Amino acid sequence: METISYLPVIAVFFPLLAVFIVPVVEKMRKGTGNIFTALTCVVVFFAVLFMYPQISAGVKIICPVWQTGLGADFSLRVDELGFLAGLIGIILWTLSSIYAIEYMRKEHAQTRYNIFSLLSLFGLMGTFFTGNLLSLYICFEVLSIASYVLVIHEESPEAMSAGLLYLFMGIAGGLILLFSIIATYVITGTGELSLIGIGLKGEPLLPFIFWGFILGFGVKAGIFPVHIWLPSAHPIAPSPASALLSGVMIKAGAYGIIRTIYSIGGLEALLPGRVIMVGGLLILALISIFLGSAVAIAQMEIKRMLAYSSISQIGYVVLGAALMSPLGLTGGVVHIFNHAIIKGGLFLCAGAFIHQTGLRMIEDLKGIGKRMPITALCFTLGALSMIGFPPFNGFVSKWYLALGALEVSKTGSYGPLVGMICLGMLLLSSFMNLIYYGPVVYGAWFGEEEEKTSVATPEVSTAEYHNPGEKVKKDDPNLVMLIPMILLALGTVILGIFPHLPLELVRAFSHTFFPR
Amino acid sequence: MEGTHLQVLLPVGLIVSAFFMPVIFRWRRKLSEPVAIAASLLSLIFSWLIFLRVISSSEGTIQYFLGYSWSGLRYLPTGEPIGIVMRTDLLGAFMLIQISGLCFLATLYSKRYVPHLIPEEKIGFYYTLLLLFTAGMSGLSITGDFFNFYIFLELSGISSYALVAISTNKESTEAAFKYAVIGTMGSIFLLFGILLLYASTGTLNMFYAATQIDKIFAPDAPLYLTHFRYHIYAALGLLIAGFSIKSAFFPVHAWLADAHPAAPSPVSALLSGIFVKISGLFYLIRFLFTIFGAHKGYYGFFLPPFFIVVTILTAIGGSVFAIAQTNLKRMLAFSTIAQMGYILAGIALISKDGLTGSILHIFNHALMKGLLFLCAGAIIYKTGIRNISDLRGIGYKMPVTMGCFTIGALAMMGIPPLCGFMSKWYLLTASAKAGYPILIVVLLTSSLLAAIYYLRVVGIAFFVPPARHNNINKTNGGQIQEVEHRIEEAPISMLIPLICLTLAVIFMGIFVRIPLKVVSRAAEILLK
Repeated sequence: METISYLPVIAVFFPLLAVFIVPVVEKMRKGTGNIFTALTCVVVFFAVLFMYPQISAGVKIICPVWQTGLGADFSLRVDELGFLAGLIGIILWTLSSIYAIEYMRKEHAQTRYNIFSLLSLFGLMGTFFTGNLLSLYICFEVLSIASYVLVIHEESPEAMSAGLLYLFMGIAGGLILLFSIIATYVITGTGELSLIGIGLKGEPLLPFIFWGFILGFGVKAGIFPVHIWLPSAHPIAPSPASALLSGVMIKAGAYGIIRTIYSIGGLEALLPGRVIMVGGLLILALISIFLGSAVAIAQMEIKRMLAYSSISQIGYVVLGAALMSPLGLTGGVVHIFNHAIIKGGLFLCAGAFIHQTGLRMIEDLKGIGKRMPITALCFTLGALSMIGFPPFNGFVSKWYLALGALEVSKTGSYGPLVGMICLGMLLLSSFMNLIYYGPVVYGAWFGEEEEKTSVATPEVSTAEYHNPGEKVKKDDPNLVMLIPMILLALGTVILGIFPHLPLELVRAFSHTFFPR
Repeated sequence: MEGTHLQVLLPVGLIVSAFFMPVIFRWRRKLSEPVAIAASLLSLIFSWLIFLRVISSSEGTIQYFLGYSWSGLRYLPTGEPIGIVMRTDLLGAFMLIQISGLCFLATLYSKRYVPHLIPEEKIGFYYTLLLLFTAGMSGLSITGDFFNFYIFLELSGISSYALVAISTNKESTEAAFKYAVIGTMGSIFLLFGILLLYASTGTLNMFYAATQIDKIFAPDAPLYLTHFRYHIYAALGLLIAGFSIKSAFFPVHAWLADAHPAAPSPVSALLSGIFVKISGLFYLIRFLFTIFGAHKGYYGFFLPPFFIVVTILTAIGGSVFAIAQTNLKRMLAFSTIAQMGYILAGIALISKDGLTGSILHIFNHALMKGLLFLCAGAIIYKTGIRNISDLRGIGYKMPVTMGCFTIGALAMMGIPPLCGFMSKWYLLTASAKAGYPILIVVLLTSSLLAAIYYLRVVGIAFFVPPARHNNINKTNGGQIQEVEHRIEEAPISMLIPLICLTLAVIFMGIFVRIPLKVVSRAAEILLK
């Protein structure tokens, strides 16, 4: 069932409108641009929230926006998956914008940051709320280009080179994506996400189209062979932007992969070439999980460690999608939601450490719990959730992924092998998470605070926020920065204990593909 | 439908005003620019009137008969028109409004740009040449016979050689000489082609020639007519060779890369934005489809593979050479060559979709490349910088100009929803539908390469701080920051064309339906 509503239009186009207002507001009174950005996000948040009654009733919201005349129109369509991804996207964006009011106060080029943050928000919301491939591509490209400016905000040489890699991989990925989209349009004659699965059935070119989609979205998601931009680009951005990049922007890629498998490919269409397509993706997901965790162990810098952890976590999402089982899909989609909350919170905490003390190396953070207890507590909750302890929300998604793996192990001749490997990898990855998050948390609370000689070692330092000689503050940041962190930390607990909100929607989504 | 007197008044009026320019310059120095701007504005209005008349006519074509018999007889009993016919179809009228629009903006832009470039006493002649150039291009787009085609081609061609040479330095003189020699070679190929066509069809009217060619290739054609088929093949070959030179396809592209950067920037914008297409690709489309009937299958399967090979060479070659350039305008010129490959890709498909994509891309490229060259000109005017590596920090100094440049560059790379993406999308779907996946790969690779060379410029302009030692102001040494961020924008008469084109790049992307309606009807008329 479908209904026409203008809520998605507000959610997508209000940030675009605000892009033109931010410079004016900032010009009228200095420092108000950041607040205006946060307010814009709040408006979008409510626009998204008001869609909930219809979405939870199983109604899809559609809205035609713009007739291009190219044989494909720009239209919006919100279903459970899009709603869920958009909801978490705007929640994190709002909190990060509030956090940025304080964090970015002393930064240069704030107006530029706000403009491109809102432009990225437009791209992100459009990606999640879109109804067809042309509009998906348009929004996805806007997201790629606009978020480049967030990555290079510091304008240091490291940031520039990381940003360049990000931009070119984004554009190359976008072009590969365009290839698949054009092929889909020409073969099926339509770009409506709900229809193309049928059109591609039995198409000999399907493996190429499928892998084009996977590579194009995979660049943004940061799965294994095309992840190389992620560990350099995510940590180099200012922390509110890192939280957005790692928390929600890579989810745009993961969202695209899930759409590829379940809407674009269509389950039945994928079945004949399952091993080449979904099997290959499963292997990439497993490699991402292992590699991200393994390399994260070796990291010295906290934001870099978090970035590698994101590669491993996005592997979970893709794994859930590639298991092709209802419970696995549930776990993968719920992990989009949960990982955004956890990783957003962790990056904001890391940003608070950097903002208040200028410390970005893990070994320097020993004893930080005594100086910044609330921040360290939030970090601890996030880390525990990331490792997968019950009753945090990270446990919920891992539980469903494990159930999905068990479900797979009951089917087919290779099923038991695949299921057991996935299960083993989930356990191994959780253990590795413990290895790299454990020392940070332990050190923060029980480590001896040493006299620091330097703020950061030169080879990995990115930008100095404080001069070494400056007196280090010994307290938590003010409330504007604390509240977003506390909300996210509470979110990990609350969604762990009451996981119904995302789970019900996700179940409804997975039932459309796996009818009982 | 009956034509209007404007079809004659437009080129003639421009030519007359061109010859008055030096006189006006002698009489009142200050009046020459306003008169030139007024003349081009008048031509813009005339073009719109012609365009509106064409689009409101039912068959999408208007004919104006010039010098027909006093008895009022317009056609011979055979159906051949008497005298000269100015026949304008929708494609021609669409080109005409692009020409006069871009020429108007370039004339406006020249007001401040040209005096710093060329000697004071030559300014009157500059406007003479510019208006003659406009007259030649307008004439090309609305004419309907071979004789006028050649006259207007030479008129616009020769004035463009002179415009390239007008800055009288070594570089531009050399480029203009090279351009003149190669351009004349192209014209000679075209002349021979036309002669052969005249010899075999016996008419100078393009549209009557088309019916004659239909007769020659008719399956039941009498024997004496079938012999002419070989003449037609030869004429087609000569014309394709001539238009390849004129539109700078890959092996014969070298003149463009010299001539376009050497010209004054408004002239570069006209040359790259519209002239290379009106004299090359537009007439290639006109000859192939309207006259030779390539879509009717007269020439076997020879044309698409040949054009596709040329497309691959041009689209990839132009982009690769553009990456290697250090001079900004030269880079833009190589980018033009790559875009010629794009447009040819749509022609190569010989289908309605492909042709629609091509014509749309001709239009979009006129907007984008005109914009980029005018931005490059504004930078040269204000700072004298021509090399890409010297552009460090120019984005803070000239934010409006570089903002417009960035939007043009993004459109050129095909970032949605700007206009470059829309025509690329159309070309890609058309080539997929026609079954040439190789073209998709080629066009996407070319876009990636375009991203490399355009983003380099944008990155240097906005994110690389200017070199310190150049920028320390001696009287004000302590305030380096102040010096770096001082805004020195180009004058308003140069910014207006930039902003107009930038808005057009954005709006023609979002509201692509509007040009597409015209373009797809024009393609239908061509393929009738």
